[in-house]
Amino acid sequence: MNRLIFGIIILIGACSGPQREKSTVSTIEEVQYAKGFHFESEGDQRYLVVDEPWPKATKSKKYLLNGVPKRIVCTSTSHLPFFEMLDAEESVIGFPNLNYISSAVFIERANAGLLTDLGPDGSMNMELLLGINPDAVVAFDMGGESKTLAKIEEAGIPVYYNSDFLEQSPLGRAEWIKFFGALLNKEKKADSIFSEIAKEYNRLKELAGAVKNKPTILSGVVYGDTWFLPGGNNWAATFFKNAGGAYLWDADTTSGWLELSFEAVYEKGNDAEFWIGTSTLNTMVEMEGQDERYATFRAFKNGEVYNYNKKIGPNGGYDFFESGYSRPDLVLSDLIKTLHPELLPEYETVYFQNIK
Amino acid sequence: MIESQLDESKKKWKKVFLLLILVLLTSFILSISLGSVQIPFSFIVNHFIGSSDNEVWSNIIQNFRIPKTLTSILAGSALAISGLQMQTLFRNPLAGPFILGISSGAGLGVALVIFLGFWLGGFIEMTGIGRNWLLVGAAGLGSFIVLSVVLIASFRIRSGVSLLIIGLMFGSAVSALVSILQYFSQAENIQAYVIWTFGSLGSLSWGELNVMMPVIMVSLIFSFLLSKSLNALLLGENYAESLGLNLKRARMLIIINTSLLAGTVTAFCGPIAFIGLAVPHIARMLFNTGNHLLLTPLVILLGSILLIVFDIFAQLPGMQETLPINAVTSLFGAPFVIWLILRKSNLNYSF
Repeated sequence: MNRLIFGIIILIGACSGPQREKSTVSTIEEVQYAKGFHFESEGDQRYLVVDEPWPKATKSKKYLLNGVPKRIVCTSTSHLPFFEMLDAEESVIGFPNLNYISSAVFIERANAGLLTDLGPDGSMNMELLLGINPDAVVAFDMGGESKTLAKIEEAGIPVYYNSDFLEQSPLGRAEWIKFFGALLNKEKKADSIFSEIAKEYNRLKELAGAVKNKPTILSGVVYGDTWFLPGGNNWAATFFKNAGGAYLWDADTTSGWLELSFEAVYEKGNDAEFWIGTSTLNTMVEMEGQDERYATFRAFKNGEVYNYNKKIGPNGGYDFFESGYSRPDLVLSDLIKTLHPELLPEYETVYFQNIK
Repeated sequence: MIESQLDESKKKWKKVFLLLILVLLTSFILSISLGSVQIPFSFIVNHFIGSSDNEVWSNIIQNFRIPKTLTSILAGSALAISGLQMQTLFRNPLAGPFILGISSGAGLGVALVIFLGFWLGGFIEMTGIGRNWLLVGAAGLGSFIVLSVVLIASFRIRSGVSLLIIGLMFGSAVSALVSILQYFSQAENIQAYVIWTFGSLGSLSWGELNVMMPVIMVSLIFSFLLSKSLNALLLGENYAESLGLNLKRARMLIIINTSLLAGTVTAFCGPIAFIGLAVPHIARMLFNTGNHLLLTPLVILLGSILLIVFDIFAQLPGMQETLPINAVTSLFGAPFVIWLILRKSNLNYSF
């Protein structure tokens, strides 16, 4: 996709509120890693363009950046950390099903009544949404949400499609902080946060890349007859590689998930040194309880099984799936600490832990 | 003359059963030899002789393929018998093992465990029960509750059709509860539940098989004993009663037996479609008999063979991916039944 980035950002003066950061005329960093959005300028106007607003979309979505929405509804927990990082928690006024949230800040706001639950029944309730009068909805559409979103647009509320879940690289996904930066007119802050994260990520990647010994990694668990595990181009597989590990399904080219038979995984993975990511199974007893054949794996016998369950929200949500996407540096550090503890002797993991 | 005809018919049936047993053995061997992982046949022979040099492959045969094939045999025969008896009991060709709401009941049990799992989490860990057993227990309990209600109804109602409709209504109401639970649940849980509804033959460990096997075996043996009552029922309820059949007792025993079979299979493998409905028809069409003394073993053999063969298809031998068993049973089974019916131009048996 052709990325037209003009070096100059023009301040749209009319709407600057008191809390607004003063954006000066300056060159702006190009969108480096993310493939799903970019910025365009036409004369005085600056646009945020989402290239593929939903999977396999044929047209991009173009948003004129003028005015800062103050009353935002967002629909994915993975968007919330970006608001936190940009100090814009107060902009979020509604969320569908507050029970999904793990962030302490947002739970506190919800308890104080500053955050309206728009979907106590699990889907977005239109009447509740219109009732709180938002001036923007940041939404994701994986295919099933389009009807609701079309209706919201019909009601005159702009819907910003966020398709960060389509990004394949960890840094690409985290770079979507710039999407929120543009929306909230905090681009400089977003840029500087992201470049810090990218710098740290790349430093860690180099650190782990220099290691000669790459331990083999197995991932996922079986549901019914099918073992679900990340494809070779998946976000998780990229992390494994960058953390100095050898993911056993590295040669695979899918960016989604693999659905394999238990015996196929067993043949390839029974000798893997590490087993990272066991879904909702949080103890080895639980694992053996679900399927006693897990116990025949080498990683299981050696106790080298890790899951992303170190931080669990008060409602049972895995914080990894909420804030992990925005902090690839922390995720990578966790994995390096797991695979090569000697590289980060002082570091304490955030999301991953050895399950007992 | 009658004697010579009887002899001939005996010979014919001996041949049929011998052939079916041979087919069953062949499919058993095929099922153990084929899978995502390619294991040479010589290795499999060596494994059974007891001299194997590859621990991984031995493990795959011992802990994956043999339990899976045994599960297919048990589930296939249990569901097929259950379907046969339901069809005769209600004298309805569309009846199947799940017609009285057994699978809906099991589904509700499983849905409750999956969707309320997080709140029950601590409790589950305390009891030390594995998740697999919890699902099995929940599904079994769900079917048992539905079964009890249907049984109570069966005491009060004389007509089979009324009972059938009560069963159907009960099933729909229970499915509605599951929909409500799904509606309020998180995506991962919905996925877990949907995967359960796909059915699974390969997830049973030996520990689970050791429980499932005796229950199914006892029920299957009991099914042979029910054959005479079923034959009488084929003549119509009034006629059966005039033959001296205790209708209520027979009905109760048949319902308990079929529910035990279908409920156990559903508890361990999820709701496996098609086999229970179609295998009795296939047996009647292929072998032109309505006699349950013959149909019972025929349906047991055919059900086992078909489920093993469908499972081989589902494994997509040579590929690492698999298909859900439920998709395969209907996808390959339905054309087969249609072909049989077209070949025979109509169903020449009646209830």
